[in-house]
Amino acid sequence: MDGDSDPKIDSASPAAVEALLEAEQSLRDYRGDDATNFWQSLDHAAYDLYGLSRRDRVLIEDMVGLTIDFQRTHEKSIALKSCSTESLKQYAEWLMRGIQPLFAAGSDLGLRAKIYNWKRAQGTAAPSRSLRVIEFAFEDNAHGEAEIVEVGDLDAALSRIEAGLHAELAEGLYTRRHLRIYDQNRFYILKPDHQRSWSRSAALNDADAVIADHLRGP
Amino acid sequence: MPEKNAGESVGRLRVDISDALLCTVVDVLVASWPAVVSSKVVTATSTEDEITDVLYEEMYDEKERRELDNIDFDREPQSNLRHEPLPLGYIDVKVSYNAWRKTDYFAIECKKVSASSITPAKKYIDDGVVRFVTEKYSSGHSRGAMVGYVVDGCEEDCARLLEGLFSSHKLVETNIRRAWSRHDLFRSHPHVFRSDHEQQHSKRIISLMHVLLSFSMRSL
Repeated sequence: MDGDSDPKIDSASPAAVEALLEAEQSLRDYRGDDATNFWQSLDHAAYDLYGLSRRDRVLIEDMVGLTIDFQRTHEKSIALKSCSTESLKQYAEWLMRGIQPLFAAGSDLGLRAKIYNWKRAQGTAAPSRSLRVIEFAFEDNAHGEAEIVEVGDLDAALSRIEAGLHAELAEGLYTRRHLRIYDQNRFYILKPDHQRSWSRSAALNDADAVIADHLRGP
Repeated sequence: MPEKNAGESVGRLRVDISDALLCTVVDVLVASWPAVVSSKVVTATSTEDEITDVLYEEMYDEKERRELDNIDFDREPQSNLRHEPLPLGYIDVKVSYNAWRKTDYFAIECKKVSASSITPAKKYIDDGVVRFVTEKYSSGHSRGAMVGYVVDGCEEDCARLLEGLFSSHKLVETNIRRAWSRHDLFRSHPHVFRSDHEQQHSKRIISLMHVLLSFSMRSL
């Protein structure tokens, strides 16, 4: 983390300390049913006190909201729930944020994302889409825009791709791989339709993977 | 947290991400320089190490401002791993990326240069360029960078002096394979040059980016 891991209250920013104490008091005073906003305010005040970057904040929020939740509640976890288009949009924006700064110098190239969305065919019994797909394109004067593109039902095609993504690592130990397809100035990311696969921290990880795929020789 | 290495990739982008990364690092370096000069902590009479200490700090701050979280700068780390037989080198500024292996880095070597004296230019080659050629650092790498702190005269005069020395200096093993020329990749700073050299052990070609930074800052 970028900030001090153990801020000393005496030397910390008085405004940050004050904000933290106020957030805590507001939470204590609240008597309603849904204290989500108050907890969020307390979180943000703590982030500010520690001087955490936006990246650090995302890693913490996903760790608490998805990873720990999955470890505790397993198949009932929110981490395995289907993704909303809004969460996919956030994923796309965070992935582009990981790559885009490398193209700020000496280049007009930027990234643009298309999030493919489709309605399920009527009568389909499966509870959720098998995979989701996002296309990223390097284009002149693109600035990290992410748009939702409505397409025909892709489930049948994606199910066939998904079947090839299951791999046996050892006897009785299986993994479901994620797929990155590169083509000219575009790349596609295909992953299971689970929130943990398309979180903001997954986007940061995938941005690293895309860069690593191209820093070494073909 | 997402699983590391759970991905499988097919194909390759036509966009050169490696070049983009290096351009970004040089852009950070160039953008940091005015703060080094205006800080007055170091001047043209300061030692190379003193100047590089301040430059390193400014580069780090610039990197943070740009939220380049995955790029890291280290000041004077050792270049080689324990099992490698090549001579030990201390890299002035080592650039690494989150997704790189331990042996992958981008080395920046810093030297003073002068438009009026050939002595610093000789040191620039003998104690700078040659270290990349002998693989004191950046063994087997395709790219590296040299920074020339211009202590008098202008960057272009220093560039001409270095260019002449590259073509005439016979005393050192520069193994030059591509002559000194203006760098065609880097557009936002006019005083970036390039020379290619064959490394002695790996026999690989390393392309050196030469960035000239002046204390007079006339052209910044």
